[in-house]
Amino acid sequence: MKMHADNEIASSSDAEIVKRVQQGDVQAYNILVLRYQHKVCEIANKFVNNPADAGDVAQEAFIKAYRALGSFRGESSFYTWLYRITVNTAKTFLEGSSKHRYALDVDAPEFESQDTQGVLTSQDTPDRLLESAELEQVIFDALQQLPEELRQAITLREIEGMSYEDIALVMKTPIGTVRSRIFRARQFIEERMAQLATGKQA
Amino acid sequence: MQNNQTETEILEKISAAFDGENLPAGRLRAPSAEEKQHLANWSLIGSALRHELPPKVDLSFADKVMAQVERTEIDLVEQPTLEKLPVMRRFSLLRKAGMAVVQIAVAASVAAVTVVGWQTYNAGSVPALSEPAASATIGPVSGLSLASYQNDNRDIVLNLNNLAQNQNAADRTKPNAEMLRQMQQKELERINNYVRGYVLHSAAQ
Repeated sequence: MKMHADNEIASSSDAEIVKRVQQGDVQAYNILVLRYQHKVCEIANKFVNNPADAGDVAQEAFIKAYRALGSFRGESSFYTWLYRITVNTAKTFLEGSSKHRYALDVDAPEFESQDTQGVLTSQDTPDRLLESAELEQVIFDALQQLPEELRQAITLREIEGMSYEDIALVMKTPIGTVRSRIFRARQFIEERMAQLATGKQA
Repeated sequence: MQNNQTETEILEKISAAFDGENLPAGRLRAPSAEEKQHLANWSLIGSALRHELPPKVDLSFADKVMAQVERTEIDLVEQPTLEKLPVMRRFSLLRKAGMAVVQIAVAASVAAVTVVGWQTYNAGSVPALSEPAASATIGPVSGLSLASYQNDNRDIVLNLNNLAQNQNAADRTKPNAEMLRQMQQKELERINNYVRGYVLHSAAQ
């Protein structure tokens, strides 16, 4: 699995957010979910080899992690801890599904009727699934179109995992400028993503 | 225009908070629908740049997790501080602490009595206490002298300086071990006599 280029910096930032969640700041957990959702889904998918099941496993892993966050002492990084929870959840899922699959064989036609393009969807919370290959291409194209200072700022943050303070040192600019550049870079890339969505709709 | 600028400023702050930077004091508020969309996009941008995206991306994943999280109780293990506890619970904790101190004190007393008893038992062959009572500086009580420790065996004092004075110059560098042992033994006997006298005196009272 490809690890973050500078995981330790991400960890120190995680620690602050984890502390907030432990003190009862529920919304702070959203930052951790947003930060690791795709990684966790990908890990789960490698185990269960089905995007819909992987989504369920990843969701369960995040909930388990949240429930147990009070006992998280920070002896490992939050991501390492979450990774272990995800792997254990996926293994438990596979053990359960091997028994379940045997029982489902009898009603196989009904099971298949719920399958849409190889992905099971729920009626209550319909998944808004997106093909990532095309999206990734759009994002990298947008990155190349960015002005140099914006591209450098977003690259140092997202790929190198540097803190704003370190980026400010590297780019020799105030932290406020770094914050602004990263935000503007995101806005620019978002516009290109929106164009992709608009083009698809047309 | 002013409103639009404010919105941009707010989004810039949310962008920084998303990176764990400049987190505002207090608890974070739930993001609006528009802010959620931006957060989802920024998450996608970061993951795509790090090549972390799975083949299919569920755009509603974070929302679904957070919807469940908001209905979930977190198992906090943090111990409450004394100030945060109700008065009765605080009293109960203090009482427990007090009981522990009392128990330790009782255990220490029992240990002390055991040691004294053992020493007294072992000091059975020493001379009677009545002999030094006549020279007691503190008045005798029921025939026993509390001053026996100070007055008994005055000829021997456990003082290495005195020992050195009473010996030849050649012996100063090599103290007589046997003599020292005898002095220690007599000193111990004197202490035992004093303790035994004190115990008997306490019992008599």
